[in-house]
Amino acid sequence: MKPLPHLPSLGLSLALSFGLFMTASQAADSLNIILILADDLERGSVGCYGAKQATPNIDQLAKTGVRYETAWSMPACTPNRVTLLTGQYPFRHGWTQHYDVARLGGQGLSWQRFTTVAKLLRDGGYETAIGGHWQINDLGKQTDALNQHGFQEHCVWANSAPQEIGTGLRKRPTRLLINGKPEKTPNRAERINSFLIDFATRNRNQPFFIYYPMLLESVPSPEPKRTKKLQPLEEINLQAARIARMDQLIGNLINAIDANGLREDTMILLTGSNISTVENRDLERDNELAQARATDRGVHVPLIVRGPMVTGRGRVSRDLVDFTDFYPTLLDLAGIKTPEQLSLDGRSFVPSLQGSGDPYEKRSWIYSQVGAFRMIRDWEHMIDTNGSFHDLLKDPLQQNKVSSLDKIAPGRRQRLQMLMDRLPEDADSPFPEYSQHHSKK
Amino acid sequence: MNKNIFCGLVLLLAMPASAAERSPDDLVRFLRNYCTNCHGSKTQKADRRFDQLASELLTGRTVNRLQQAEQLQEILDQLNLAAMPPEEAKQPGHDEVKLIVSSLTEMLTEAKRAMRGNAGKIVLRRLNRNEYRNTIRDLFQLPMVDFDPTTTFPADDITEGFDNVGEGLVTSDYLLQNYLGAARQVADKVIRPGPRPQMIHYESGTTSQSQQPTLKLSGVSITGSPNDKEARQEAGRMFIKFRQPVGLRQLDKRKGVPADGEYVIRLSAQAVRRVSRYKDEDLRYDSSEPMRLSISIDSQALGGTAHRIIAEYVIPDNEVTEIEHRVWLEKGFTFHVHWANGPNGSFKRILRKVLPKYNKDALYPIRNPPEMYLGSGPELHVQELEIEGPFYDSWPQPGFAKFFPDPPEKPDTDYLDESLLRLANAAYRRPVDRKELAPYLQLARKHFQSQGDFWEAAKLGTRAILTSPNFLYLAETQPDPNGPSRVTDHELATRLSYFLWSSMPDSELRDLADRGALSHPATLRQQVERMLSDQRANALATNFVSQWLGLRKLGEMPPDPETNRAYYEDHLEDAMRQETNLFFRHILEQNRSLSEFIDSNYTFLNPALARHYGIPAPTEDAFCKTNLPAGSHRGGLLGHASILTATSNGVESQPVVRGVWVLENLLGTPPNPPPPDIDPIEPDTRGVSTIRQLMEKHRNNPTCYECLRKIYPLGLAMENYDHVGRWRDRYTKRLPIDASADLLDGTALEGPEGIKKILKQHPEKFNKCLTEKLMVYALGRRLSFADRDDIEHITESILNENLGLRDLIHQVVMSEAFQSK
Repeated sequence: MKPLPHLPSLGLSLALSFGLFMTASQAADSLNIILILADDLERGSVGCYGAKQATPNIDQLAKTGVRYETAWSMPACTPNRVTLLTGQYPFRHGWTQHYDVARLGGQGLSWQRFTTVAKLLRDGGYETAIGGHWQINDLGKQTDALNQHGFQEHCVWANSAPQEIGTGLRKRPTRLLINGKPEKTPNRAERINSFLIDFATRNRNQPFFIYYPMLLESVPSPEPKRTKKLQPLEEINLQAARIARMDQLIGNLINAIDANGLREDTMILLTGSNISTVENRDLERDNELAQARATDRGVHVPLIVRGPMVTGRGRVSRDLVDFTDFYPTLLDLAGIKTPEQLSLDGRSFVPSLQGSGDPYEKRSWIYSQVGAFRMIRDWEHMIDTNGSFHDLLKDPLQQNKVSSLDKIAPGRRQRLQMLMDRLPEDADSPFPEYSQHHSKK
Repeated sequence: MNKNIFCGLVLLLAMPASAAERSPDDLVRFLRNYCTNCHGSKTQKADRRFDQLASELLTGRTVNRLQQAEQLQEILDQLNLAAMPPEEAKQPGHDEVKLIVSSLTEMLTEAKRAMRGNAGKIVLRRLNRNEYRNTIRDLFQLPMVDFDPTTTFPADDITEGFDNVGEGLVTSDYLLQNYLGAARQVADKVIRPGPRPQMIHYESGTTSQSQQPTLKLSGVSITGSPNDKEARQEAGRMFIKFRQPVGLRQLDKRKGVPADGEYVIRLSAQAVRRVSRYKDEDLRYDSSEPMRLSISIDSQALGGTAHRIIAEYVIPDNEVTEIEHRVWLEKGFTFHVHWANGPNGSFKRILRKVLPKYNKDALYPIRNPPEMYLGSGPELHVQELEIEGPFYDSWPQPGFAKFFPDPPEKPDTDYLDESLLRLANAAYRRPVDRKELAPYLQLARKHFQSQGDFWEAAKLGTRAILTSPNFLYLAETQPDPNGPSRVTDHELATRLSYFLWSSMPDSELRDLADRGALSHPATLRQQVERMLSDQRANALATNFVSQWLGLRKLGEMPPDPETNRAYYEDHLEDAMRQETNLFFRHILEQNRSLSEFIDSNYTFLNPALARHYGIPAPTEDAFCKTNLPAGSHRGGLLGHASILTATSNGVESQPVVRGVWVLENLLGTPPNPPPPDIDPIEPDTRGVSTIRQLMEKHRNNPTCYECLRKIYPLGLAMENYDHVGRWRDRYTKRLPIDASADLLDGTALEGPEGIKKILKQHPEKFNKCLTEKLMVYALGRRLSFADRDDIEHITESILNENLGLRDLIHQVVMSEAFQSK
């Protein structure tokens, strides 16, 4: 085992609770961390969140871990990923809209400007790997990008030519980039899955970090060859098959962890997003969709965490979490002190995982943004920059105005507005091509 | 009644001529020479005039003979004290005084002798509110804790300082209506035939699957199905002290317990985060003391007055504590649990103004989402609330079975008669025969025959008996004018029990009275001993002491809550009352010398009161006998905060009230009330900074000053005690207290110690005062001229035989006045 930075967050722990002190001491044993970001895995398609379709592996994960009722992502794909990896809100990192670097060109996520959580984990002694779709650098041109961002190993989609994406994935054998080497494979998802299992098995004696941005893909073999438009029912069936497949892949990884005896050493964080980068290939439509998704429902994602740090099996938490919180949480889990020069917008939800009842250790609001559109919510109410204000418990679809008889609402609205007003202006766009593309509209 | 006294006084009139060769002329001359200038037709200082007395004595035509005798006695007393004539007036010669004194003494002795034997008065007095309540309690063996049929009774008038004096206990139409209502309530409560009531068993908390506590006094647990409204309601309970207590929903919905009886309340509780991030002063809460949980009972039907705290428990931190409490609940009562020492004041204030200060993401000053605070403040969790009952030691209830034993399947009129006779026999406190009760029996019978409902008829009969004068009045039979005027044994038992217990005689007293054995001195002594050791003798301590010392005033003018926080937080008022009560009971139980009322080297303190006095506190959180350190300024009644607070107006001490209090209750020489025809004159009080200077201003007003000069020195000597009885050396930084004063006779007084010194120098004054008070209370009537001998006799024996308080009570019981009518 590599020598590890010992108890770096001790000062922090003393300031907080005894529970957090446990964090620090366990971090010395270095928990493995697996962060699964499943695209298109909305709450409505997960069994334990009330979907009709059972997702046995995810449900099992929830039964043995803690399930969050209120977690928010960003409405658009790339901002979401950048936020997850940098721990900053879009207004800070500048990626406020969807942007496909491989197709539209540009620098992508700059490793000089941004320190990803993977980099800090690697520097903290973790073996790091990514399996899935990176999307925020042009890996064809920036071959060293993943390494620079902190991933020692990778198994990712090779950047596909625009026409390849455009013509659909079903007909062509897909290509992966495995540790720098291109590889063609018919079953891309399974290949990534087995790569990660292999990575975990190889590194079972040392702490590792796996970033697993999964894509919800169709099952390849019984692929309908027809080109005609799918009927609604078929669409539903297809979606169900995709969910089942994703669930299976997640199950494979979890089983491998457990089989390697790493269950008590591994934190598994599973979240999703309501965005599919696969099916919506039209870029313009992507942005429109992102705008359309800029509602609570559009960003309200599942979040399930299992691992030694979690107290209460099968617990359901109403604590607020958004995508900036993963960064400090992972550092907290790894026992790595946050570098001082780093500005992070989120807050570690490790106390929440441990079942702390202290609200001062938790978020009291969460936030999401796409373009100039911003929204913020607490446990019940939300406001956005369009001026709408909703009671999400009574009106989750945001269809009605809050009753004027509601005596509590005005105060809540005022508070959310106060928090919203505190947030800074959007930062400059990350690179010239980015702003050009978006200013065209 | 008064006729008897007047008979005696006829002799008094004859007496001056027969008893002494000195004619009334000497006395009349003396009066005219030295007295009537001030106490005559022109001026009546101290409300006394003797010019009429003089002419009456001369002519032999007496208007009110008793009054005359009393006036003579007063003149004699003043001459003996050399208090009159006053210094500045013309003084009689030594021999002259001697002559008049001996003449007066002889006149009065003769008069008293003549009145001996039939000098008492038949006391026809009704039960006062307290006695009524206690009598019902003992008659039917009811736990009269939350059942009180007397709540609507008008307050009883105070006569001679006590509310059990027959003269003041008038009856009104309103009171009669209340008697009817009370009798109905009591009859309904007592007559409970039929099977034992069904048991109930309600609980909450145990059925829930979740490990989270289901009920919390504060805080909230959010479970799988978040119900925000519930969460918010739960959140509303956070920090709550009294407003949102926790109860059993089943019980509240059903409007309380279904039947009178003993119930068991079980619950488990846990103190969480006693010390939190919130500052104590923000929450108005004391995190240094362990959390306490109180159980209260209340009734929707009776409203706020029925609310009562029945128990308080200390809840240790972070461990679940199981509590089981047994309590008698009247039908319709429910119980709730509270956080007794939780944060104080308005919850709204905490939610809007306090909590937002601690969280930068909160908006000030509104109610922010409760989730922002839940789980951060001190909380008292209550789990597994449960109630079970009713339990009975026996069924039917003893108070019912006593009068209606083994009711037959179909009870008949004979059974009705017998039962009501049994009841009247007890309720009238004497044997009752069928003939006397015939109208009552007739009433019940008729009802039974016409309506056919036996138990309704029984209730009607019971109500009739409870509204009978024989029950409501402590009636005594008219004595045979020629025979002995001793009270009968039953009357003696009644006098005794209402004196010591404020209630009816118990079965042992009654048996003795039935056998005619009570009046035997040894038996009587043994019975008094037994009664004083009984729990019910507390009534003597509460009723007698609180009225003697004027403690019922305590709480009438409470101090300002803002500037006297400890007074309310430590419940000092109750503690003060308790101190005096325990002090009296200690002296009574140990038969201590009466001088300990004046000065003692101990008192009874709990930690709160000890803090108040600045005396090292007892370690235990309870009252215990504490020896007073030197210079504590306590000891004796004068140091009791109860008295000192009762004689203040909540803002400042009132030297006049205190002075009057000492004169009235310790020295037994009450000053005359201010003349009714005098307008209160406000002296020019400009430039006055102390109460002493204010009083000096009164000196310029001779009308007031005549009386006030007796009062001031005593009041001023107690100025070192403030309005809640705390010791103080100065009013303000620059204004020290001068507690010195000169008495009328020139004796210098220095502080409360000075008053004690004077009292100790003349113990007979206090002894006489206490004896008189005790006699009034025991007899339930004003003392008359004829009782003086008894009092003097007792006062003498106290001094000579060094009697204690218990002995004094024996003496009172053995006295002529107590045993005759």
